[in-house]
Order: sequence, then C-alpha cells, then structure tokens
Amino acid sequence: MSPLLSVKDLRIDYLTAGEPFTAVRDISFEIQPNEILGLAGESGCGKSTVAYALMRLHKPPALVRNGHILFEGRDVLSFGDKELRAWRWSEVSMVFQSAMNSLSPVMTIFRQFYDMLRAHGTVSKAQAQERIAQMLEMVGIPSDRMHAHPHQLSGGMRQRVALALALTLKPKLIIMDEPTTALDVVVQREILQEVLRLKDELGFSVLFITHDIALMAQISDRIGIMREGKIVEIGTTSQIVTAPKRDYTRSLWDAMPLLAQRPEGMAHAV
Amino acid sequence: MPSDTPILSLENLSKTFAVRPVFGRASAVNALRNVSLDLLPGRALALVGESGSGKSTFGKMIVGVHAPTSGRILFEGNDISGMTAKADQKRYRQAVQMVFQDPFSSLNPAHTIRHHLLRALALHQPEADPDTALQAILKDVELDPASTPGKFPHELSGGQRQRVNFARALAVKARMIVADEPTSMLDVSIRKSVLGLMQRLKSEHGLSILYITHDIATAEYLAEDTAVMFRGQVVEKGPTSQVVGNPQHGYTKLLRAAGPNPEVRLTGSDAGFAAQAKLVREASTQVVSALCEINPGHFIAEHTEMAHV
Repeated sequence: MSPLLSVKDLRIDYLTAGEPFTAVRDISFEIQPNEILGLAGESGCGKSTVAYALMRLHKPPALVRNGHILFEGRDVLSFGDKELRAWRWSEVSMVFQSAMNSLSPVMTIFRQFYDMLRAHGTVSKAQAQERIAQMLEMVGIPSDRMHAHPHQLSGGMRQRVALALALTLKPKLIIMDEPTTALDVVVQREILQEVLRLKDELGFSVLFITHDIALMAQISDRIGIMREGKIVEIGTTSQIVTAPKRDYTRSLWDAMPLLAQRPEGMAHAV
Repeated sequence: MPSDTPILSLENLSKTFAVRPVFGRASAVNALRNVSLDLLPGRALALVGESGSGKSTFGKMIVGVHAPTSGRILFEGNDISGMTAKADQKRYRQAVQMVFQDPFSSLNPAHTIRHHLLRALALHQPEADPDTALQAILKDVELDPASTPGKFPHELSGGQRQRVNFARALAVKARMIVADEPTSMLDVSIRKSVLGLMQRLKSEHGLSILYITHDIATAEYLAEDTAVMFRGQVVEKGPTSQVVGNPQHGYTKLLRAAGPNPEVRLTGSDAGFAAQAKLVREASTQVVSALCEINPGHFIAEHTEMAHV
C-alpha cells in the first residue's frame, strides 16, 4: 500500500535577528490511508510547525529549507497558488489548536460553511443548506443551529462545528493540532469518539498532535515522539506504550500522573 | 501538627451572580449552591469538576475576591466576614495565599524575582534578614538561589514561574494555599514535578492546600480528600482513595471513565458513552436534596431525581 502522505528530510528554520533557529530537523515519516498517526512532544518541540508546513500554512519567518512533502506522490511544496487553494481543505483539512476560537465571531455557522463550499465549487443556497444540515447532524448538533453565531454555542459545540467544517469536503487527511486541550475530559471523550466513528464511516487519515500521550495512545495506530525538532522514536502504539526504546519516551510516561487501580469494567461501561 | 479541627470550613455556601446584559433580560447564575466542605490542617483537599462547575468561584470566595451570597466561611472557627479589624484581615490574608492558573500573567513582567519576593518578605517577615530568607525560600522551591533573584519573569519557564508563585506564598509564611489549576497550563513533562513540590510543601511545612483541578488523576496523586463538583453543587466527597478509587456518584464515575487511559483503546463504537453522559449530566443538575454517608467520611449526593445510574 502506498502512503497517503510522506514527509522526507523536512527541515524548517525560523529566521531571527541572529542565527536562524532550526525548529524541525530533517524529519521523515509516512501516513497510510485510514491511519491515525499521533505526534507527541513538549511545547516548543516543533510539532505545530510540522502541522502548519504540511498544509503550507507556514509563513515567514518560517522557512522550509530542505525536504519533500509528498501527498499521494504529488509534491506539495511545488504547488502553484491555484493548485494549492484547490487542494487545501478538499484533500487535507485541519482542526486548529483551540478550534473553538477558530470560527469567525461575526458570521453565522451557515455563512462559514457556505463560504467554504463556494470556494470549492458552485452550490446553490438550498443545496448548501441541505449539506450543512447533514454535516451538523453528523457531529451531533441539531441542524437548526446553523443560523446561530459562534458565541451562542458552547465550547464543545463549537469544537464539533470546527470538526464538521474540516470533514465537509471529505478530505483524505485531517490534521488535528491539540483539538481538545481546552475541553473537559467528558466532552473530550465524546468528541474523540465522534472522530473515530466518522473515520470508520468515511475512511480518512488523521495526524493527531497533542502533548497528552495517554490520550494519544487511546486513539492512534502509530505514535511518533518529537523532541527539539527531531522524531526520536516512532512505532506502533502498543510498542510506545509497553516497550518504549528511548529514555525520553519513558520519561514522558513517568511525568504523567495516571489514575491507579482502575476498577474492573469501568473502561467503557459507566 | 495534624489535628481534627479544620483550618477552613465552609458552611452552606451559595453564590449567585446577577447577569445584566446590555440587551435582553437580566438573569441569575447559581455558581455555587449550598456547598459545605472542611479542609484539615496539613492536608490537601482536591476540588474536581468540569469548566463552569463553580470551582474557581469557590477559590475566589476563600481569598475574598467574591463575597458569598449566603453561608459562612470559617477560618479556624472564626467567620471571615466578621474580620473587620485591619489586624485580623492582615492575619487572614497572610495565612491564606493563592496560586493562579496562568504562570505567565501572575508575575509582574517589569520586576525581577528578587523584587517579588523581597516585597512579601518585608511586609510579613520584617525581622528576618532579607537576603538569607530569600536564599532559603528559593532553595525550598528548588530554584537556583544564586541566579534566580536577578532574573525577570520572562527569563523563566512556566514551571519555574509557578515555583516563584509558591515561593511568594512561603515568603509571607502562608499556612494555607488555594491553588487554582496550578499545573493545567504547564507542559505534561513538568506537571508532576510541580505536584511533587506541592506534596513536599504539605509534608515539610505542614501547609494545607486547596487544590482546584479538572484532572482527577492529579487529584489522586496529591490530595488526601476529594470533593467532586458539578453545576455548583458537591456531588461526592470523602477520602480520595474512596472517591477516586471507588466512585459511587454517576458523575464521578463518568469523569473517571472519561479520563485518558493508555491501556484502553477507543473504537468507533462508543458503547453508549455519549448517551450515558447526557443522562448523567441531566440527573446531576437536579438539586441535591441530601448528602448520604455511604462509608465513614464518604458522602454522595442524593438528587431530587435519582442520578445513580
């Protein structure tokens, strides 16, 4: 099976007044179709920089110095403007860090979807309405809420809207940069469960970025651990959880207070 | 000096905020409803709940930012609203210190760490030699006593800044710390070390800690007692080993089950989790009619409608 996305020797510098700062140091990884790859690391290790570069959202002073990003064999870094605009969101979409604040506060939910749909093809208002209603229902929001402004929805609902926005054009890859960090655990669980259900239904891949590795281990197929711009270890989830090879991975696990003695049968049944 | 007299006790505390928007009708928000809790000296009490459950309001009332709508806050048996004399107020404010969630905005960016700590020392420990005291305090919170005093807040990491905030509480000889989500803005890799510092302050200095958090796992790590809040009410309280280890209230069970556990794989089928969560939330919002003691010291709320599902 050929990978959906492959990153080879990617190096990203931030230009500063002095020496350039290398945020991402020659990293390589692949994402297979229908796979969830987790990318974990401390703040400042370069994981968000990678996410932005994958969608070519990096802006100066960030600069890709070296490497390739291949999406289904096509070189993303050489896309022209028109090609890039068509490719973004229809094939790769993103749920941003603090996604609930990534919606425009002055537009209704309908308007934000409609904007996106129109940018990727001609749709009538009625068609758009039908499609949006369907997407909102899919993430568990009553469709009549599409005429609400973001401030009229709770944080969890806005997060779901951001997720629905990212899914509407049926992209093959969704990049999620700390999608649930601002939410409490119950809502977080509900949303991740939703993502997994939709993944089964629609069959997309996910690049899941967080510093909560316990959470990551629950949903990822493979996990990469980043430190100071490098991937120090990458492997299947069970290997990273039960038999980490690097001391750094082990120290990440040790740094997390985890619940002890979990009562039996508590995992799924509440 | 562990004893059974609570350092702080809260009796039937309620807080209602009036919301008066520019447009639309005024409404009332019940941030806290009839909460009673005790904090024992030299122990930590964790207050666990989701955002909007009223736990921060609780902390702010203790340090006097908000006044309770009804109910009493007793500090060593004395009602704090009765402390009108300046000396009493100073004594209380010295004894109870707060550490905030955001280590990046709770220090003055224009002053060095030395300034932050010396001011507190001069006010509350005028008899001590400032420099010796400063060194001792920094050592106590595991910061380098030689290089740290001259630094500005922006030269320190989040974890180090949070240590400075704890140092400030030590500098005034606080006996109780209200810590409002002190680790939630820190990176996971240093979270545990800050919790370790709190653990040590508790055991070595006999400090009492009210630890406000949404993370039930850190509560288990630090606190002897835990109270779980939902929509302004305490739904379960008691020894942490029982509340977290063997939760009885529906909402606590839900919190516990939702916590990330690397050993449990999630799948597309949520086994009714979302439906269950909705039910439990609805049931737990009902007014608590009584707290029922199911084990010595372990209480669960009884709602006007049954919530134990």
